Amino acid sequence: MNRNESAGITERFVKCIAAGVVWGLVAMGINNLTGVFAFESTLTHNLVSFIFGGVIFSIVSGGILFFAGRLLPFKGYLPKALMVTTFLWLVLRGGGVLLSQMEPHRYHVLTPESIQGFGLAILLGLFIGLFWGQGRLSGRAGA
Amino acid sequence: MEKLFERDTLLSTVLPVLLLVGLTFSMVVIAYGMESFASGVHDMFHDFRHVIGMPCH
Repeated sequence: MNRNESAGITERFVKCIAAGVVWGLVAMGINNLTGVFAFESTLTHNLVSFIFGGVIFSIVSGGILFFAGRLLPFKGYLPKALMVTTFLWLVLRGGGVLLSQMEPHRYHVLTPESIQGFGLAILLGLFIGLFWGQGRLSGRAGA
Repeated sequence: MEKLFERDTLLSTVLPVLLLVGLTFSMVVIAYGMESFASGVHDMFHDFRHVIGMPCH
C-alpha cells in the first residue's frame, strides 16, 4: 500500500463514519414514521445506540468494500456499496434465522422488521456509495 | 531500510485488517445481542437490533 492509498483509506474511514451517523439517525426517523417497532428506550439512549451501531455497520461495510471492491462485478462505488451492505445484512439475517431455530424462545423473526431492515441495508449502501462518490478518492476499490 | 518498510507495511495494511476484523466481531455481537461477550450489549442495542430487522425476544 503506497502513501496515496494510505491517504485514501483515512478519507474513506472518515466518510464511513459520516455515512454511519447519518444512517443511524435516518433509521431512527424511518422507524418512527413506519411504526414497525415501538421504541422501548429513551430518545437519548437511542440516539447513542443508533449512531454507534450505524458507525460500526458502516465502517465494516466500507472496509469490505475497500478490500474486496475490485473483485465485485460492478463499476462505480454505488452499486458495489449496495451489494456489500445487502449481502452483509442477508448473512446476519441468515445467522439470525439459525439462532431462532436453535433458541426459539430467545430469538423471534418478525417479517415487518425484516422488510424494514432490508430496506435500511440498501439505504446504508446508498449513503456509503454517495459519500465515497463525493470528491476524489485514491487507492483500492477504484470505480 | 528494510525494517522501516516492514513497519510501514504493518501500519498501513495489517492494522486496518485487524481493525476491520475487530469491528466485524463487534458488529456480530451488537446484531445478536451476545451478552456472553459484552455485558449490557443486549439492552444497549435492543431497539437498534429490532429496527434493522435482526431477531430478538
